[in-house]
Amino acid sequence: MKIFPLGDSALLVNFEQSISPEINRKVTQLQKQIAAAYFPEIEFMIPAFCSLTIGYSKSKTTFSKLKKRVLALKVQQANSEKENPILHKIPVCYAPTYSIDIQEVTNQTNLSKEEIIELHTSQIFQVYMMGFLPGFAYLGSVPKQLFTKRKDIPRKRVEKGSVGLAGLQTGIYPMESPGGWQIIGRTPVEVFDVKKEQPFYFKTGDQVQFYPVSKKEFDNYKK
Amino acid sequence: MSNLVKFQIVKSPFSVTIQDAGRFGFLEQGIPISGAMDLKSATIANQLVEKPDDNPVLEITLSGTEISISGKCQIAITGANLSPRLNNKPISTWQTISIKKPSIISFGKAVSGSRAYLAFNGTFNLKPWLGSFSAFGNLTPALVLKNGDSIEGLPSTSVSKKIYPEKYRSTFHNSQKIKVWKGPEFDNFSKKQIDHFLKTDFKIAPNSNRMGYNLTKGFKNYKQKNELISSGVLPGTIQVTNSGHLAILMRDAQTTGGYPRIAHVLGDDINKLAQMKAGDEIFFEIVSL
Repeated sequence: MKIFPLGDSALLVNFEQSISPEINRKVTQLQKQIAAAYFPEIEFMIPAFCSLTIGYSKSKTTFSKLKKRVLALKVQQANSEKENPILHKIPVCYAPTYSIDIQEVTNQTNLSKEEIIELHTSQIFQVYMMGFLPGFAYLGSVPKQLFTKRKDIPRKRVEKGSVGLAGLQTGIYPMESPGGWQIIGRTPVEVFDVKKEQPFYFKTGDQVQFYPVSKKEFDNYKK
Repeated sequence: MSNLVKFQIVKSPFSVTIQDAGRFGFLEQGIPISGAMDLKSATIANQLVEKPDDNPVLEITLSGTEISISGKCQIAITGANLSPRLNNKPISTWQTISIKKPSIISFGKAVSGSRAYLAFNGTFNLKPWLGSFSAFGNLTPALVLKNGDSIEGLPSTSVSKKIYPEKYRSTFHNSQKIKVWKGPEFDNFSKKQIDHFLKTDFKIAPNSNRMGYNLTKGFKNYKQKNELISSGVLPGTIQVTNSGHLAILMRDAQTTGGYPRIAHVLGDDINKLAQMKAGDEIFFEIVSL
């Protein structure tokens, strides 16, 4: 664990810099430990794949003081109880109207559409990080056979609910937006709803598994 | 009879936005902090009308905005000198102003700085989103005021007139030294690149906004050592993009990014940057922790 300043009111805790469920779990564990302890000087945290950014109030602490307090927590980490992450089961319709980049993914991976769907739905993914768009969850890791490069020229408009692949990641567009991920399906689940008091469906550390639904089931999902 | 006061945007070449001290609870969900670009000036505007530092204010950018105020109330204008006039007569800024009748506040030439703040001695009739009154793109349409839009507010009891002493006011310049701390990836850069970073008079490029400022004169023939894994970024983070361009993230910046963070602007200097505009010149100075 390495700690750096990120300006004069935040510190960055870097874990081993690689993408894995175990390292990401360390990030969310540290975040939970901090949230459970008394840290009135902390104003916000940004958990990412293998780092935790911690924002603090300059009037209440300094970089070196907070660094010491965070390092002191690390010692207790071994004793922390086992995690029980939430598992979200998310329906995805892979029908041709929604799987608009399936041909490109087939070309890149040499997998059939059925194999792509099988690989995409047989794994439990972890929310490694929230970002890019409000409510957008970076999910991983996708099996290596499904590694897909982003589109060379990003689409100007990706529809809300679109499910995409990029590298070893997969994700759901929470709203209509420009984007470069390869779109292989669409979910009827609203992963971000601006009108709700808690607009977000996912948080970092949650688990997600997709399951295939027909176009009819997709249409009926919205009560 | 209600004594609500209506603030209407008669015209504004840029939108007027509502801003407070920022939205801090949802960075972990990818929601930017936002808030007044020049927090210091916004805070002082609130103090002049005896409101809490994080009360929502109007952020007015550059010249050309006109706002009508429908009735009696008190306001204060701080930040950039945008030649403000009250019913076509110049008015003093950095002090409590009493509006006695329906009036028009107009902003003319940007003499110094680029963002002015208008605080209201009262309570705007607005709903916060995720705990903050700061505008965030299309998700908070009520907090972005375009031509013809208006908001209402209920005036509070009058306060005595206050003037913020001239010697303490921020002054804004077109060419400034900006203090930074080393960023987490500072050591990824070569000595030559660091020299360039510290000895160049960078210019703020035209495609700069509340999300970030792009700078001219980036690194030539830049090749990033290795891909970074996305991690937290904040207002003040200076990123080097794959093409070698430098960008300073500002208040509406995204919460994570994958570019190396060469340095980070210190809090007070983010306020200074907030008052600069395209074409202005900056130099970086590394200060020690």
